[in-house]
Amino acid sequence: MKKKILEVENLQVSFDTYAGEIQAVRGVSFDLFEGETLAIVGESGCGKSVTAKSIMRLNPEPPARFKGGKIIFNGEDIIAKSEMEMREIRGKNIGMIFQDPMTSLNPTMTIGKQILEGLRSHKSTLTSKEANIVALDMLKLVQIPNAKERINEYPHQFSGGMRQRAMIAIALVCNPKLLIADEPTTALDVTIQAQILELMKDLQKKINTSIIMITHDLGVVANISQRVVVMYGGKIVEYADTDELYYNPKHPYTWGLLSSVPSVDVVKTDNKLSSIEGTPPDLFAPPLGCPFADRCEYSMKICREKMPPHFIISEGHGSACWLSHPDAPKVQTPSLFVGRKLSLEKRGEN
Amino acid sequence: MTEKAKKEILLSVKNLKKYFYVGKNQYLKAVDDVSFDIYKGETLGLVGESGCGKSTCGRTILRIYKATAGTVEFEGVSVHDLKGKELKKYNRRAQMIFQDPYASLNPRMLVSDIVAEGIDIHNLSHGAARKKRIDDLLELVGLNKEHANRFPHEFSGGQRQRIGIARALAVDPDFIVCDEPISALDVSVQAQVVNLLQELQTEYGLTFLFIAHDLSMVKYISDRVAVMYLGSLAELAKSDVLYKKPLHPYTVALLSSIPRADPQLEKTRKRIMLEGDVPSPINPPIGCKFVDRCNRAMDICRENRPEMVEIEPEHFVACHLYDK
Repeated sequence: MKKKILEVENLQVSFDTYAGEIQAVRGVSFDLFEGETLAIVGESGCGKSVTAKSIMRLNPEPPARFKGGKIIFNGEDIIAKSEMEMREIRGKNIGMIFQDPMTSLNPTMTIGKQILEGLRSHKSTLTSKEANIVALDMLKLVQIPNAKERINEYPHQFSGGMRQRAMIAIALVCNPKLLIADEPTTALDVTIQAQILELMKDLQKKINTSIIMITHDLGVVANISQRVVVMYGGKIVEYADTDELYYNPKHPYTWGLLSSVPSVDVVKTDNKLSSIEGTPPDLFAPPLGCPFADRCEYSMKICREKMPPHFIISEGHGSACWLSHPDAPKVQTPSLFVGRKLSLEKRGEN
Repeated sequence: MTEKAKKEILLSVKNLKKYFYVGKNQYLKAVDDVSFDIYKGETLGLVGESGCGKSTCGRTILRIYKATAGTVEFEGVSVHDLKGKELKKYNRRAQMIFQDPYASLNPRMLVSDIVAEGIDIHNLSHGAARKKRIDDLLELVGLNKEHANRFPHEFSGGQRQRIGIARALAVDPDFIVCDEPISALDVSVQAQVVNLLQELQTEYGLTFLFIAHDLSMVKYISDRVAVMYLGSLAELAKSDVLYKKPLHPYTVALLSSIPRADPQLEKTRKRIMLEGDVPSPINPPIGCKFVDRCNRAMDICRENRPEMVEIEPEHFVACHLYDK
């Protein structure tokens, strides 16, 4: 049995604004095991970044307000920690990579200094010479060419991909147990994205950190993660192993999300791209029932009245949809996924 | 696309160059000798990494930038030599949809005035007819006429992009440059906008130059795709052919780096990784621009810049590997 490194239970976070309370995260629960990669997928505004930042306690309070739930990291309650105690954890036990490498590095500090910053505050026993060596090794580890000269350069002298590498170096320099990556490749080109994803997988093997990958790109999810959590309207609508989610998804939102990505490998047809009509719910006044009900083509009366619980489909796979209730009317799974499931079973036999 | 649509050339770009002066007697060669044709009624996809000059190319075609050298011919007439009435006519017939739906709409203007700006400039209709036209356009792009009296900030990203599309359509254009129209949108909303663009294309016989870096969406929407690298075209072919049988090593690497939304495939698939970053367009290599990152580079690649050659019918590639 793998060791649980992070437990999030019924997390609720709201933001107080002049227009009222935005219920950004409304009861999110998931676990993370040692050495695994969990992806959190969803559209903008679904609460995925707020969830991740809550783990680091990086949401500014106010306007953010923690409403309830638990976050247990490595056996310790994160919510109960003081700001001083959190400073000990940030950077040392939990590292974070942000979306935009252009704006999240300090333009007035050399890359080397920014790597050293974490080392100095968390490993004060190192002499400055030793710290310099660690920083240089880290820069080499993330495959920055001419690391020895580059360490004294400023962020503006780095390209986008190299800045993201530098950011990974900063996040990993203290060997954190958990790495939170908030859309780390969204701002990058595909060729650079492929390099960064390979690098992250490589480093994970070397350092054995757990990774929470926040993304909206389903290709990235398929590439890097072992398990996936799909969020919508501040709630988790489906969770499963990556393979299971792609080949046997159960929630209509997941169906919509997966089929709105055109495939590169399939021959072009004149079929319309399937899209999800409408827009996500307003989180100032979140719906009583399922947040997806208004956009869902299968919605029933109960969907608008009561939020469905997570029905267990198989081990490690749950779907918060009334369609998965034993008494629900049977609906046809979209043919795309029936085909995928068959092809997976076929591959399993061979 | 039908056979008939293939034949008629709407827009022809010949040896187009756009250099930007960056001081110290140096020029940034954003577009460096690019030639291609766009047929009537088709969608030509233009893909490449950021900074490869694809947006500059689209903007130079629309005469937003003055070309440094080369010509753009719209129905046989050179666009950059147009003056007065003729120029105004071209400006009406060729429109643009912008990338960022948040930055491309004036926050102080009502939606009705944003959409009608072109109508007013080109004197297309007035009074009640103008109002009716605005209502029709909004309905056409999937908004309703009540939206006309609102401001852009009241809309979501997808809705704003629809306003941008309505604005482009207001003046009955023939040709639209879509500069990354969906990259700022969420996945499910991207599909909505792409479907809308395709419906409008069939209904009004529009021709699109679709600039994007999302290769899977480009494949879906385009009839032909051009791949750009550091200001030059690397390859141009029908989209099915290009994705199935890419010839240029850059296209091969680019296609192989797209993460596929299929975990089993992702585990088994072999990828070709590109080393390093795109070199600076200020001092590009003398020979082939891709030579420093190419895994099949030869001596000749460093000395001579390859020409675009038609290897197979309608499949152009600029690479010395295919020299005869």
